[in-house]
Amino acid sequence: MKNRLIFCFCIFGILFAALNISAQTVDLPDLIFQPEPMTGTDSELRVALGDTAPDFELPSISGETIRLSDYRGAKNVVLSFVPAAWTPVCSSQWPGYNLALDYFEEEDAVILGITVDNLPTLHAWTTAMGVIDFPVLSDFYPHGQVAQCYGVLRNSGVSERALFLIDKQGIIRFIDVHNINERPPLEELVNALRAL
Amino acid sequence: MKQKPKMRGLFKAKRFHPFAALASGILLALLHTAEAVEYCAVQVDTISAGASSENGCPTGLSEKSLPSLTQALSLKLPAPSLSSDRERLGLDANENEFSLAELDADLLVILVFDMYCHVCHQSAKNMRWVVDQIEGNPGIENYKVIGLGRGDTEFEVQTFRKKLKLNFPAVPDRDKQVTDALGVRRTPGGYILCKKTGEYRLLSSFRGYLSKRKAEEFLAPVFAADP
Repeated sequence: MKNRLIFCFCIFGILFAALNISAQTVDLPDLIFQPEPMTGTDSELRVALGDTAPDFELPSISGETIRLSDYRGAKNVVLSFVPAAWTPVCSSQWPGYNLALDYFEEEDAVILGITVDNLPTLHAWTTAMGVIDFPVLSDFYPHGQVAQCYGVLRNSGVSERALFLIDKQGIIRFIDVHNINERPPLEELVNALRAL
Repeated sequence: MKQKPKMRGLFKAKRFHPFAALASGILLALLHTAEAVEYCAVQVDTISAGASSENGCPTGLSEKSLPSLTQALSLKLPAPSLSSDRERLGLDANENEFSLAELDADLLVILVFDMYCHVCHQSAKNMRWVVDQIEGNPGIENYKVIGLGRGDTEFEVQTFRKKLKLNFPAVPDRDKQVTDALGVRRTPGGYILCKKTGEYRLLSSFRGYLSKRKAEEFLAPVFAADP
């Protein structure tokens, strides 16, 4: 009798706890860290229009290793550097690109999202943002090496909010190192793609 | 020999059943879940049917709930780029900008989104449903529906409309002034303003993810309103 009671209360307790845990959903905006406004840009570009884009190889959250030169001759590439996971402007930039993927596909382009965060952080963040249908790459180790190579690593250790458009020959055709506190307008990127 | 005291009620050995405890647990958890925070905390400000009426509209929330409704209605927005949208809003083809106050409507539905906001992407179908309900109701006259793209450019607003098949006109609120004045800090959001005589009053609002249930609650005061 006593064992039966204990067993039933345990079931009750587990069920109650499980339903409560699932009910206490946490809103993505509540998870976003609100940094103080930063200086618009804080780096020195190391590449220029017309340069061959420095090649790199980075791990993606899908488990693949992505090499930029693998797209040579096949796809135009948009590199979207955003400063950090779990920050406000960044958390709204990639879902917008995801919605607008048609524009990239129409111009035979792929978009690669890159931050200096590690893979687990990127996985959690992009999962919370919903579906992101393009590769998300970690420039975590060596820290910010790719961002540094392009000249978009800030002194604070995060990357700039920067876009690079690289054509199928591997040449840089568009650069936008944007004010880190603001979102770059989509049409500027799309117009650059259409101008290739 | 002492006899063990008999247990009574629910815990009598013969009546007691483990599934009773399970059912109790489910019931209590469901009751708690009903009060739990929903995904993207939403406040739906509604009024009950039959509330007293002022200016021909049911009394809704006080204007405290909108930081500056008058200011929001008077600030200028860019006129829609599509002529069909201008027509739906009753705007002159030559006008480059307009204010919400200039829209001649007894019922004004404002739906706020952001092209880059994934919750807005998920809410879009229920925004469409809201508009379908209003447009499909012959009892609702002299209404206007407008979408505001908070922080978006014109291109981004039109991208959002095209990709998510919005069925209402939308314009950018690039500098966020109008949506700030409406009290929007998080997208998506929505407001229903009613005006029969005099000034607009808030009838209903929502913030955060727009589920079907919330969309129904958002619209409920419209259908409950006194004529």
